[in-house]
Amino acid sequence: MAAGGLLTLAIDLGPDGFWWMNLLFLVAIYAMLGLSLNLINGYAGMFSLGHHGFWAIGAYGAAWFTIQFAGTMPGPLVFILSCLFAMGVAAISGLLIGLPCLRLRGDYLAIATLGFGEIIRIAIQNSDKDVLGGSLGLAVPRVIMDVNRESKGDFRVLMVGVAFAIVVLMAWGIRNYIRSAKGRAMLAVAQDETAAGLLGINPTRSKVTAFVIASTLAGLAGAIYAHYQGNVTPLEFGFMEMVKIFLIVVLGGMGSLSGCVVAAFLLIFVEQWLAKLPPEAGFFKDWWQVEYAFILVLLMIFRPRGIFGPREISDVVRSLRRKFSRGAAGENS
Amino acid sequence: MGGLFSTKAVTKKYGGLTAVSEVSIDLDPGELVGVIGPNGAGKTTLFNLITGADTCTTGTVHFGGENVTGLRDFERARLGMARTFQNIRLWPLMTALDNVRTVYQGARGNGGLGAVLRTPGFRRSEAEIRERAMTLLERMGLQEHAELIAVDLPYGEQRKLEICRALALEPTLLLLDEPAAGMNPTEKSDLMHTVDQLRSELDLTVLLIEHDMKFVMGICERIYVLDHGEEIARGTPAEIRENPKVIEAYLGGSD
Amino acid sequence: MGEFFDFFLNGLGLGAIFAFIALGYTMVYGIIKLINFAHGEFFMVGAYVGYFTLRDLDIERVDLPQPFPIMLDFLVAILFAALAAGILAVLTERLAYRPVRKAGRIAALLTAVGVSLLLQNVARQVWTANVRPFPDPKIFRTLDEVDGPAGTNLYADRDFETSDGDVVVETQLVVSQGETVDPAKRTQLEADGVEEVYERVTLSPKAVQNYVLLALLLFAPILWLLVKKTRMGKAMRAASEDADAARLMGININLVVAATFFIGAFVAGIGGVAYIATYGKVDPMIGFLPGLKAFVAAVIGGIGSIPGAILGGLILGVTESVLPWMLQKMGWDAAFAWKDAIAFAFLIVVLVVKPTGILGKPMREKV
Repeated sequence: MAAGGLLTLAIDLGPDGFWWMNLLFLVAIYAMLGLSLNLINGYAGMFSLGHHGFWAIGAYGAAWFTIQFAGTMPGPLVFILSCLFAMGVAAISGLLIGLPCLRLRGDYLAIATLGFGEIIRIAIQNSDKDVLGGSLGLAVPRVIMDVNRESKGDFRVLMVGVAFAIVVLMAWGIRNYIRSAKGRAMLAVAQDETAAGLLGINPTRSKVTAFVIASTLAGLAGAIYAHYQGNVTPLEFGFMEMVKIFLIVVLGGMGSLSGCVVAAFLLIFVEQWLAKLPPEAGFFKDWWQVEYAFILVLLMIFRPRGIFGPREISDVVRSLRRKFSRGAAGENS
Repeated sequence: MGGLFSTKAVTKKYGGLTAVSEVSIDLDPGELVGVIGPNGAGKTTLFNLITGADTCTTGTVHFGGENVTGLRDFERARLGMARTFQNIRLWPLMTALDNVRTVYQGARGNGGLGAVLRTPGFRRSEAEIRERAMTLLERMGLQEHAELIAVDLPYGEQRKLEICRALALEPTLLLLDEPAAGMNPTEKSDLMHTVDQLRSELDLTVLLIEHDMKFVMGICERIYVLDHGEEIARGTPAEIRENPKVIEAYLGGSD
Repeated sequence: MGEFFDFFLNGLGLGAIFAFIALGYTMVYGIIKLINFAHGEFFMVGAYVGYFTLRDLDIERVDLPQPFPIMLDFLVAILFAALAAGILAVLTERLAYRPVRKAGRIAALLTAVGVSLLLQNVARQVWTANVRPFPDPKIFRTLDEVDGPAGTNLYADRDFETSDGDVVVETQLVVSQGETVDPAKRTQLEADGVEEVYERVTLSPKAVQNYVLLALLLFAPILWLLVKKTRMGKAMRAASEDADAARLMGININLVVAATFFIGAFVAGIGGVAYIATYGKVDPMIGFLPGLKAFVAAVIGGIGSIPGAILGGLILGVTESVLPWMLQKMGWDAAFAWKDAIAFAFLIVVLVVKPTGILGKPMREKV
């Protein structure tokens, strides 16, 4: 019975353009968050559980800025400036949190940053209604274009385009960064901090830099997200989001950028698809959160190093091709 | 005294235990000096105090005419003090080449926006660093391993790579912590020979810890002997060989 | 001063609950270096099992003079809650954690987070997301015994069929304190098949706090003796010092880890009953924030240390209770809404100033 339900659902997805656009946008946002967290947890060898806090800071920063300045300048300019403002606020928060906390190692850093993420959420929830909206959140004025029933589709397509352009730029920038002297210093600190210090690398500075860059990028993801949603509420930035981001990094393979994007797609797709199931799906619909959590646990048990490990997708393809051609050659001889 | 480097009565206590007690060392530019002593004599702890891996309980460290006791490890390194480790501490997952070029100080500014945007200036400086790192690898005979991941290198090559990495800092003082540990006698003497040559080629001052008396006697101009954290003797190899305290310490340590 | 003392005691009661949860966190972390995020859910499941035991098993009907039936009721609830949490922990360890133990700490940590979410959502499906009020213990009487003015409010339950066909229990007030039973009402009750009425024993929050503290004081030495004196306790300590060496010495690590999970969750189950008695409610989310804060408590006390977990729990409880009160006195009206943020800020300060916690062993890296 359930299988029959599932079959019809698979067909239902087809014509649902809005749903797909929304999915793709969310994939792009989580890919940004995953890519930036990868810089901390994948490359810099630190362990942060507070990334959702910077995402929230970015979203609220952009929302606040847009409310202040909407109408005083051309819409797209407000959009761009609000993104920059959000990044700036996230960067400063990253610096303020990073300086004291990054002396901590391993799990202690994880718990300190987790505490930070919770503080941010509580602070927003208890904020003044006129400033950050308290528990009700903020409505973000539409500045890029008017969004109504007719133009909603166009808006989503536009935002998906913008978001994916940022994802590509972000991946490219991060890749270039880790292949520079600063990036190598970061890897060195991650692999042996003591040796790095004794060979002239300032470990604290390297870590703080990685942390601040990652926070800034999470802030950017928050700003884009706020403009797309049209409102921000504190509940959207709970610890569950942190779990998702971290899973994306781990499933994508720590330190793999393309794996990160693929993992973002898989995870968000499964989540959205399970949530979207119609009531006929019965068990599958009602229990979707249980199933989602169950899939996570199974993935961690069976693929603890991520879907592809720490390699980029291109490496995987290359090694598969090599294996394939070697197999063929083996048969010939 | 102490033209290049000196420690003045450095002491390290862990709780009730004194690991290093009032050790004073002086080095003149261009010297090759050995530190010997039985296991647990405090040799590595002394290196840690010198390089800033650990803080002195009392005493001071001077380098290039400056008191560096208050400086952190990376600050001392940047002044030209490089070291290797008794238990190899390469960055295990980086290639041999990356292990070396990460240390170059001239490249340290090569990050930020220039790197992200791959500007021509960035690429030029990257190419130059690569060139220099390759030259250094060749000097130690490691050029063929440049693209290998550090942990995949044979043990002896890892030791050489550590020296290579330390040299990339372009130091004036090189501290080698048992550089030939685990090598066979031929490899050992080759390595010691290389160290001696590098010293004159690169104007280095070398302070080295070695367990094997024979080799230290062979290449060092002067030797300090530590036992139970205290200096028990200093002098030329010939003087050390005759010193009854040293003989006592070594024989006493063996039973 | 009196007010301060109230907040202080209040904080100690809260801290005792944190301590109960923190003990399991600290023991598990000590032995396999895993922040067991699902530990809060073991606590939550324990709380539910305690809730159902108190509500449905009618242990208070046992024929003993008061207050023994009520004490027995709570003791059985605590035992069931602790056993259920312990068994769940052992199963979780066997099915989810053991397979990833070799796969690195981050995989293990995320598995723990996944298990935590899984248990939370299963609880939400099975027990609904509704907040359930605490079932007060009851003292039963037959209708015939109710003569003259009632000493307290008396209630009666009857099964009631809703229009959907579900059977729900309907509670009605039979007579208020100081009044006599209306004969008409009595006839009606008898017609409905109700034979007995009961009085509700409402526990005062202060009394509950004292009992929770007392339970901690009684239990902590038992746990301490268990870890210090028994073979299993010694094996646990050996394994937390150096698991490989312990294995070589012939210690069965799997058994030790399973025992650690069981004991840790057993204690958390006790905390679960303490929690519902203190806060008067249970819902599927109660494991999250108290669980997180209990971990904070374990870190503050020095992770891996059993006295540290207790001390950390009490300190965190008192801080969370007294500090907002002081801040409010100093003119910050919203201080209590920020109490969770204050707890986490306190954590960050402790971590930055003394990362190994109050009673933790310092770590030094060898070069």
